Amino acid sequence: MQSNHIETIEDQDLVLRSQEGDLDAFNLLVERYQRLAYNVALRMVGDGATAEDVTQDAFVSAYRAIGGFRGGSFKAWLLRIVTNSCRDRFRAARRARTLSLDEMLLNSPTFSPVNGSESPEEYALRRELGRVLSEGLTRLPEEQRLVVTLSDVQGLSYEEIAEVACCSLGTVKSRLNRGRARLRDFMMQRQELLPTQYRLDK
Amino acid sequence: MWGRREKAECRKVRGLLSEYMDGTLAGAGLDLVRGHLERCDACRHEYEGLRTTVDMLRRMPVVAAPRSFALSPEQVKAGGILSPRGVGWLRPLTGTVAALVEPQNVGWLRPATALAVVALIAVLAVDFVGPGGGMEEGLQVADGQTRLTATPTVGADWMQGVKGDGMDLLSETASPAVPPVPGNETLFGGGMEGGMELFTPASSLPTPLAGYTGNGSELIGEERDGEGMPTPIPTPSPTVTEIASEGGEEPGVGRGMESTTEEAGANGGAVAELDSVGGGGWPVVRWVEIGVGVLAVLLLAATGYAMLRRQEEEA
Repeated sequence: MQSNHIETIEDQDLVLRSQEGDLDAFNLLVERYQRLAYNVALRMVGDGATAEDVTQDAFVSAYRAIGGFRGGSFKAWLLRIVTNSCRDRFRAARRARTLSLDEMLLNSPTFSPVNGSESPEEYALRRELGRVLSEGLTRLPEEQRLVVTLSDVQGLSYEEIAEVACCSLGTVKSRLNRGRARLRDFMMQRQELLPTQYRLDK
Repeated sequence: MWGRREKAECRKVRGLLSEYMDGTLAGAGLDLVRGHLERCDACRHEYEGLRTTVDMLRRMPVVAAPRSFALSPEQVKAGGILSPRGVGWLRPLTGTVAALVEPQNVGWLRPATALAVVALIAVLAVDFVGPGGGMEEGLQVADGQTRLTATPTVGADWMQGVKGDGMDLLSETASPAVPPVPGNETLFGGGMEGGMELFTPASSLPTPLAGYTGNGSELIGEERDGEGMPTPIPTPSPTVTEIASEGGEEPGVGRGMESTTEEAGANGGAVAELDSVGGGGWPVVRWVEIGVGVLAVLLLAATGYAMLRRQEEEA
């Protein structure tokens, strides 16, 4: 709790300095949040290379717009920009018809590389599970995908999600409920791809 | 009966399962879900599936950023990125617009747009139907002086009050090619008060013809006979309006023609409105119309865009 408070104060200091045009201060914020921003973008667009572009665009947009940041949670504000960048990317892809969601999924990243205690079979299964989950997430409606990603992958609270998604707590809860249920249905249709402990028809 | 009630409860409980799993459910909702899950296998199965799915999601690893996304000064310059100070003032505006067109705002955007459109119609109705209103008059007021010499349709209006040979003269006057002449103006002053009042700027009440009262009917008589038509002399249009305004101020000028005198009375309100126009500013109602109109158009666009986005999401 205490460290969280300190982190917030530091965010505010860095934001103030960034608003004065201090690029180094802004880059400290970038270093602090780039992992989160990239992961949210990754789950939203489902493709590593696109997520990289989206994240970079989001930080550029954030630097441009930071003069108008009026306090509150910098993290939520930044994630809102990341979300908007994802939407822009979807629209551009839809317009250009060059990169469909399915094509994005072909490049979808999976679980992290095998660790020392994991057998190649376990790793293969885990990788497959990650691929199916990523696909399921990408097939959710955009608003539900955002809420499920922020809540269940990134561990944000309902309040933080409401701030990022610019909606009420009630909307967050209902989107989360529908998104999770939809994802569960998607996973149930792919039972054979899941490890035994994750089979949903037991 | 029992089965239907059970189904309704199942639906309700399934809507609360997510909150129940997160431990944020309390009170009656919590008791309902707990009790229901104990006796309903289908919902329990549903809940287990949900829990497993969320468990899988929570195990998804957080991937390290593939590279640093820090902005370099060169990148900032090359990308044409403005200093935050320079564009800061735009943020509240763009932020507001972006927040406005969010799909979830469709719920209140639609009634708000409808309200703005109704308000616009109401303001237009008050302006055009209310006392001293009338769209045609309003239009003539707006550019009365131009129409006096250039718009045949206005000339046709004037003709309503003219009889006999004066018609020819009026046609000439209304033609863009022929500038207004004093004789014609006199004719208008006597025979067309109703129409001419519309060209009355208060600020230009008669100066050269201030003494002109009541003899319009004589001149009309002359014109009607087609005899005393003066030589056309190019005259600046303000003179036309001056004479016309005189006719408006003193309906008695056209005493010899009852129909036009009535028109003059009926258009008294238009004279008042014209006064404010001639005085150099629009009436307040015009500004209100523009304001509400712009608001309605903006809301309409925002609603359309938000609905489009919602459709996309649902698709």
